[in-house]
Amino acid sequence: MFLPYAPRRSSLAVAASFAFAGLFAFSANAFAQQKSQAERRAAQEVYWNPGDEPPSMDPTKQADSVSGAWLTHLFEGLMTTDKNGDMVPGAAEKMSVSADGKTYTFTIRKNAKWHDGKPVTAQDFEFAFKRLVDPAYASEYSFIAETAQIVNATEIIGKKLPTDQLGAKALNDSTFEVKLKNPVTFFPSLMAFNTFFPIRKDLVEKHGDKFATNLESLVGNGPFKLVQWQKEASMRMEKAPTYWNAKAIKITALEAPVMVKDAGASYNLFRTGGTDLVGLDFERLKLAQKDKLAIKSHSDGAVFYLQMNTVDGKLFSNVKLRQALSIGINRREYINKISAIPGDKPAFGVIPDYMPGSKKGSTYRKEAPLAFKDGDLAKAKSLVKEYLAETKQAKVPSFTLLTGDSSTAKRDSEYFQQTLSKVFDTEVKVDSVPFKTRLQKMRDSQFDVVAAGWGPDYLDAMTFADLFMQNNSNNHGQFKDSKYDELILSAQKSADPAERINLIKQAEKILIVDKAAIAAYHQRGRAYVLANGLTGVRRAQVGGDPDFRFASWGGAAAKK
Amino acid sequence: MRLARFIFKRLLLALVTLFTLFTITFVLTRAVPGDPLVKTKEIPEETRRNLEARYGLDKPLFEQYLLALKNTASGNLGESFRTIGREVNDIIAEQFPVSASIGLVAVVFGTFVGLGLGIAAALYRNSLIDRAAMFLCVAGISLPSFLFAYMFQYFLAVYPLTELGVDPQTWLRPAGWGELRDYILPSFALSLGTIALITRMMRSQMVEVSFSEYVKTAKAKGVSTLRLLFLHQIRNAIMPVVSILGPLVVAVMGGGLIIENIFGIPGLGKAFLNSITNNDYSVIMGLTIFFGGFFIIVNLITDVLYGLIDPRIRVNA
Repeated sequence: MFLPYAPRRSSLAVAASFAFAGLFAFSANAFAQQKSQAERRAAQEVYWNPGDEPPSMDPTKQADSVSGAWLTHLFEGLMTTDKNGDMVPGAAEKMSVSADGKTYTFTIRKNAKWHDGKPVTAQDFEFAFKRLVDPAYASEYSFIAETAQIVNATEIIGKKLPTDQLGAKALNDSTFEVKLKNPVTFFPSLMAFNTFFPIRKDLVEKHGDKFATNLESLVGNGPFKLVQWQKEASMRMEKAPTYWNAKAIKITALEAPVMVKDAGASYNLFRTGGTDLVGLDFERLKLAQKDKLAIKSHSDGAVFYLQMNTVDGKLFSNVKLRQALSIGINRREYINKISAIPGDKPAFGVIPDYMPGSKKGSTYRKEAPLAFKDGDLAKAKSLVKEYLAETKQAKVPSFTLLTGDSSTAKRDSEYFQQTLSKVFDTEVKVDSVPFKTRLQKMRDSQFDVVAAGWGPDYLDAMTFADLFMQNNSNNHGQFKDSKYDELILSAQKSADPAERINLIKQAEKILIVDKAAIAAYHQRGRAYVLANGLTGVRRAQVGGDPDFRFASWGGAAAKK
Repeated sequence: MRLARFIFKRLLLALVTLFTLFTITFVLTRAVPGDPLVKTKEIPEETRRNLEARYGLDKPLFEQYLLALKNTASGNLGESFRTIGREVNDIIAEQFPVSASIGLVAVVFGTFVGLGLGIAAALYRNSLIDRAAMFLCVAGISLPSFLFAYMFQYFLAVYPLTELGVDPQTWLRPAGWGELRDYILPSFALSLGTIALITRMMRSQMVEVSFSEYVKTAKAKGVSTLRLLFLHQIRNAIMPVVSILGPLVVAVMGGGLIIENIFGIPGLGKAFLNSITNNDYSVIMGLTIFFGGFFIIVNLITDVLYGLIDPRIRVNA
């Protein structure tokens, strides 16, 4: 009895599937813009999934890693890095330093050009440096001009002096002079940093608030120029013929055909040739092992530590408890069993292993070794016992471990909750909150212990060391030690590299061992995979990462 | 005339609703700890003050409220805190059509499939078709759409490309936007909820209608089965289904929050998710008001249409 309608039903389905197939066939043939890996290999083009739309492509305002990576390809500072990450002259062909180490003079290359063909001038740098400290622009990274100790930077940011009083001047079109308050040994490396890239005054004046938000206003002087930008969807850069060192650049284009944040989707994209580099989280790492991919790893630069609230009246204002926490946790166990990403390293001190030392080729850590026995429950417990005797208590009061709400944060906090409740023989409460809430609680001092981390802003131990000075706004544990501050201040004024390291070394010993304000535990590693045959991709701890400038596709095609 | 009065009244009510929505959103975003300027790296004090002045965060809260209200009322939704120099108006203008087009494809596809399945399930009650359809409904309603998204991404894109050696240029890609083929996976994943909802509703309506007196009468009169199905059963059963299409369109066109992140779609769902994790005040407010207004208007249209289709439920305005 229902027979007559069966054909109707199926005709509907047939029509729908035709429409579906038609849509698909149409798109597959007429709209496929994405190049296959073989085509890219032949054309020396690289695909990359940055995960996100860059929040700011204006070098003055950029403060995030996605924009930072693009900008490193688009612009070039006075100094730059070579394929090994070593500091070499960039837009300036020559740099000279005065005898007192306080005046730097740069000579701009004659053949340094903007992507529209105009020459790069000393005025472009002067404009950029002044814009960085100009209160009207309110750059988040303006503090880096203070780190560089450029004359009057602090006063200008604090609106005590006008912007034109900055110690950075174009003497003529090709000579740029920077005056410093104190000699800063790592000043040249700062000059490679995104925040000190040159900026075109004419473009800023023409585009105003829209500067660097569209193709027309985003003209760089680096090895690649931006040719396509569809907001939140795709971006493409091509090799710039105007770049002075164009012959060193092998790849002809760097493109993000897809921007997808989800880790699983990103891995799928890699497997199907939609990106030539993909980062692996814990789950994707297992997949990549199963898929037999060549897994690489690097240190992403960040150091993680348990920061203790040292404010009077808080539990961890007591130094013995802080020391007990630091020796009580087992860093190697954490690295091997909990975090377990290739490239992970335990941290004892707060200064990571890659930070340079006083001599070329040396590192800070080689010159200032710091390690101690941890996971030492017996010693930790004896310190706790001393504390209990001194304060005439029977039991350590329960305390709170503040942490984020990501799956890794929760996993970590469970581990530390277990360990710490053993060390202190008390209840450890975990306060797991969203990202911004955690930051606000840290600012408001609403925690006993917090799992915090820091990524370097420049390639010098100071980027970690100055965090724990009394007046540093990132010193959320409110550690106060005048000897520590003195040592760091002297290091900031010292022109002698060996003496600087020695001063920071003494300070670090106070921070980690004597006063145990923090318990550093993790130098974060990142696992990733590159497309078969792609070489020369540099992973950086500081500045733009990943760095594709010197990448190239190798000769033999992949076997697959 | 009555219709015009009805619409006018509803629009007036809409303004009150939007105002309330604005106020609640303002209070809630300000009540969440940490403003948009709170970042992993503390912004230095002086710079923070300069930034607060730039965004007007240095003013008393009530003044901020009035200013935001004034700007929103005049159609200026402000600038994103996160993506510097990006106007919320531009975000909506550029990203809404993306979400809307995917959502529309999903709803249209889902509605047709859902109606077909629902009718078939009702006609062949307790048959294999019916059980399969009901299983699909339970799955479609209870399983989150991102689960389907991952499954489709893997089985329809990754697996054929990596294991079966299909040419990537003539097949679906797992994620991306800008080519027509990029509609397929996300709208398919989004449509499952719609399919489930409509199938279930259509089935129960059809069953209910088939027991009604007028169907019995029609049968007794000897109306042909085809005529009975289309003129008597479906026509009556479809009414409640039409009424949920409005809210459904809004829900689906708002963009699958997670779906857009999985397929790399530059839509409003992605923008909304980003704005919330970043406490991006202006974007949160702009998108909330936009969605609120959109919801109200679609509902109004649905109600008007409903009244036109079914004379029984015209409102006495």
